[in-house]
Amino acid sequence: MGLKADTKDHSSLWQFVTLDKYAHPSLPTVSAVKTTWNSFKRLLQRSEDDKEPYRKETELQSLSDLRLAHMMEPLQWDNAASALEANLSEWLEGSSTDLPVKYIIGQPFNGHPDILSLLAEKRNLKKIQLPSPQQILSCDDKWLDQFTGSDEVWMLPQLERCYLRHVDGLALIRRLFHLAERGLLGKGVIGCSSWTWSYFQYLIAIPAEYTLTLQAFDAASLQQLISQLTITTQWKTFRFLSAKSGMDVIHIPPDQKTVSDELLHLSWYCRGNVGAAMTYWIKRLQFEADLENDAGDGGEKATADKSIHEEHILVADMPSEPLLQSSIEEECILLLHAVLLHGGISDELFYRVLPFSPSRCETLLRHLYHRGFIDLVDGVWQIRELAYFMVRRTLSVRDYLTDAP
Amino acid sequence: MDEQTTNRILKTIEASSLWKFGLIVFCAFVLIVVVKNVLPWLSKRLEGHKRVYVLMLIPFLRIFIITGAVVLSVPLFIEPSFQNMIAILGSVGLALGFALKDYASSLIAGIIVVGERNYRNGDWVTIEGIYGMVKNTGLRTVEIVTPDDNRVLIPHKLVWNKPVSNANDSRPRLQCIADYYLHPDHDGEAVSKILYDVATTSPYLHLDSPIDLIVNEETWATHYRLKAYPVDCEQQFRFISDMTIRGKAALLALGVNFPNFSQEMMEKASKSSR
Repeated sequence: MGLKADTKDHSSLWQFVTLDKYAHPSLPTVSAVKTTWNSFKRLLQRSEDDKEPYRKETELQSLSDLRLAHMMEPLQWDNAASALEANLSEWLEGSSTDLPVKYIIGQPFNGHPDILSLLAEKRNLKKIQLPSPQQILSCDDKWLDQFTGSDEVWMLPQLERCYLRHVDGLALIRRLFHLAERGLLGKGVIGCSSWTWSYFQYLIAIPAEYTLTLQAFDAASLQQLISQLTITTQWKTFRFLSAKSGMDVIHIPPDQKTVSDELLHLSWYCRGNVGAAMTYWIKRLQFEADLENDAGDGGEKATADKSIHEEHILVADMPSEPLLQSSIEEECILLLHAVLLHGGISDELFYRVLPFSPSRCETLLRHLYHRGFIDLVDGVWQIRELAYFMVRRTLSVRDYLTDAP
Repeated sequence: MDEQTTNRILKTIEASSLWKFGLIVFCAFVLIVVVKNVLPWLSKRLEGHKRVYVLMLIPFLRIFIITGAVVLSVPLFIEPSFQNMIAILGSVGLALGFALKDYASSLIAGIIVVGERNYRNGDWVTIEGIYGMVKNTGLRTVEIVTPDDNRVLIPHKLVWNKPVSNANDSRPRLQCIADYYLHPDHDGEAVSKILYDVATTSPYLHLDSPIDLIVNEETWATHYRLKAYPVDCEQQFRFISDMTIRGKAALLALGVNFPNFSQEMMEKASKSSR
């Protein structure tokens, strides 16, 4: 059974802390041992579990977009932006330039560009345009002109797009750090991907006190967030049940002060990354088609009070991720690593940062795209959300650089 | 040994003993084959230290299995008394000493190598000028696969009197060096910065390991040695190639010239410097 949940109010759910205070959600020992054993079994390619599940996955169906829209509000970053604003308000309003720049570090899919854009709107911050690849490679000083010229506080949302891991791709970012740290660019807020930040620590070590990151969402916080996002009325409640064990995952409105193992595992698996955790959560929601309109499990069920309907939703196992075989080509690993370190790369820049020809890069991209690892978003190749943690684990096991918090 | 002594030492060979001996040999053979195939298969599914440790187990397990088989087989044919064992071991030792001297030397060296851990499976070693990855540490020989994919078998006995250079010593990383020979007329500080960035921006670089640059003024050029570690030993040649190619491109863009001497001039310069 799960751990006791902390009751947090709405505002304390979203907290920004310095990087060194980021607290990864952990697993209770029993769950950790179970997870390790399952990994070992997977290594030997044996079937995962012979036990009969509560509901077979083949009998379940995903919720339609329409039904989801009626059931859950999408995750918005307004509360995170408000929390960041509250954290920075004293600094933004103060005249001291001891810390001229604040770095907001975000994990992939954890919304740092959106949070910073919302903050910029709220506080009327000057938004800095990203440099073009040519400006990066030629270390174009003119790009830095937009930082100066007024006393406004500026905001650069994606530092990961301001450099290239190339001999000529570091000069501009070094110049930016040099000027920003000395206060020569005025006061500003810089958003940066946790992967890029990790790499920058080898180029320019920046103390943790300059940084802020969204605190990890542990199981209790996730439970509270899911409760807030699930749309209930006084006549309709929800009960989320594990499709594997049939045990309660969450009851909404909450009627218990413990969190389930499912949520403990989810928060641990997603390393406290709330954006990714919510994506996984939504992907896991299923219903049992045959019982949809029956009074049994999987459908709506009238409670003792006939006017209240309790809808049962099944929470399936973690969605299947693209499989990284142990024999996967090293070139693919390097390409995925480059995508993460740059927060996404466009086609024409791959051959600049990797020792492969453009045609080889194209072949690898096509290969990884068809296997479900990457996707083209606004002309930039990004890691797919459901592939991210698998790729991260593989890179970590192979001793490649991984992200900061 | 006279006939009486021999009869005293050796048991009467019965069919059941032969069956038992056959079974022991068969089981030992099967176990060795299993160890030889399963552990490398398992190691391919693991990374870094775990892979190296699994590969290291192979020779230990093989010696263990062979020793076990010998211990189980000997009492089937020999009365296992102290005197008998001394007599048999003495005779076998004498025979080996004369007839199979080199073979025995390699076998003993093989046991020493496993104990001293001079090289283990997965290590990158140079023995007698041959560089490659240790693929298998056998009883008599070590099997090395060179970067050109040649399989070389080297007898263990060379460890008695030849140096063995181990580049990674069972660690997952080894140092790689990219050499640059530049015309002496250049800005050394700018070159140093560029070469440091060449290493830092290589996708093969293991960032937690140090990057070092050694500069040496030769008679005919300034020699830069860029030292860094790739993420995995098997990337060493690709890592060096990457640093060399991108380093040369960056240096040319900086306006640095490369010396363009003929072989004859280089030899002359080399002799005069000596």
